[in-house]
Amino acid sequence: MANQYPQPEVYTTTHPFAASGTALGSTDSQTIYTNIAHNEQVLIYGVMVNFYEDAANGNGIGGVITLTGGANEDARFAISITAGANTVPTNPFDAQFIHRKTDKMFTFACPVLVNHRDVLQVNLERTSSTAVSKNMYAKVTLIAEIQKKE
Amino acid sequence: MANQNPQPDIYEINLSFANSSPQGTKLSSQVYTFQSSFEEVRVYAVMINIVNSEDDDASASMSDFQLTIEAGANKVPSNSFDIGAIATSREKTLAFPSPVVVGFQEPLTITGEWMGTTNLGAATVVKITLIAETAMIEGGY
Repeated sequence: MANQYPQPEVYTTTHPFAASGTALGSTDSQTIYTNIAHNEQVLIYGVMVNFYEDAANGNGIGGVITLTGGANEDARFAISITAGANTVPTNPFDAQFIHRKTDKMFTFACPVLVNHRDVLQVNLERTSSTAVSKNMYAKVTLIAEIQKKE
Repeated sequence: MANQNPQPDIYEINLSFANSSPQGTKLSSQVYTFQSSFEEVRVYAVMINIVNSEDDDASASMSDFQLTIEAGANKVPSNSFDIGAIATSREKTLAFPSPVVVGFQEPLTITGEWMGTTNLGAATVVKITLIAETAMIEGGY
C-alpha cells in the first residue's frame, strides 16, 4: 500500500550470468513484489539497463561493462516483462541498445499496468550464440508509480 | 518556510565511502527541509555523481551502489534502487513519474549502499542531488 498517491516506484532486479554457463537461450527471471493493495495499480513508464562485471572476476570492482569490440556480444540479451499471465510488451526487446544509450533508459509509448495479485517478473534471455566473456550481471530498473485504480 | 510558492529547492548530499568498504556498507544523511506546517516538499528527480577522492568521475569503475529515500516513516519509492545506471548516463538524472512528497516534520533521509561483490576499490564519494520544490499544501495526499 502506498504512502501517497501517486507514489513513484523504482524497482531494480539483478540477473547474474556466468561466463561458462550462459548459452544461447539461457534465461534468468526475477520476481518483483509490488506490495500494492486491491484498489491500487502499478504503472511502469520506462526501463533502465546496466551491465556490470562481476567484481570477483578479474579487475572488475562492480564496474560497468563498456561495449566495444568483442564486449558488444556480452550485452546481447532480450528483456521481457511478465505482468499477470502475459508478457507486456508482447514481444521481448533488446537490452543491449538500452545499455548503450546515453540515458540508459527506454520509455514505453504507454505504461505497463500491473494489478493487485498480478505477478510482475523481469526475464532476460541470451540472444547470442557466443558465451559471455566474463562473469557478469545485469541490473534492470523499472521506472513506475503506484496509483489508485480509477 | 519558503520565500515564494512554489519555491525550487535543491538538496545536495555527499556520502563518503572509505576505501575497502565491504559489500553492504551503508551511509545515511538527513536532509533538513525547513518547511512550515502548511508546506510540503516535492522531490521530482534525483541526480547522481560518483567521484573519487580527486573529484574525478569514477562511475565507470565503481557504480554498483543503490539508493534509498525515506520520507517520513516509509521508503518512497518503497524499494532501494540501483543508481549505477543513473551515474553512468549522460544526464546523470532520474526523473520520477510522480514526485516524492515530504510533509511537515517528516524526516527526509537518504541512504547509499555499496552493492559490489568485493570490497570497494578506492575511496569514493556518492553525490546525490534531490531536485525539488517547496509548495503550500493543497488538498492533501
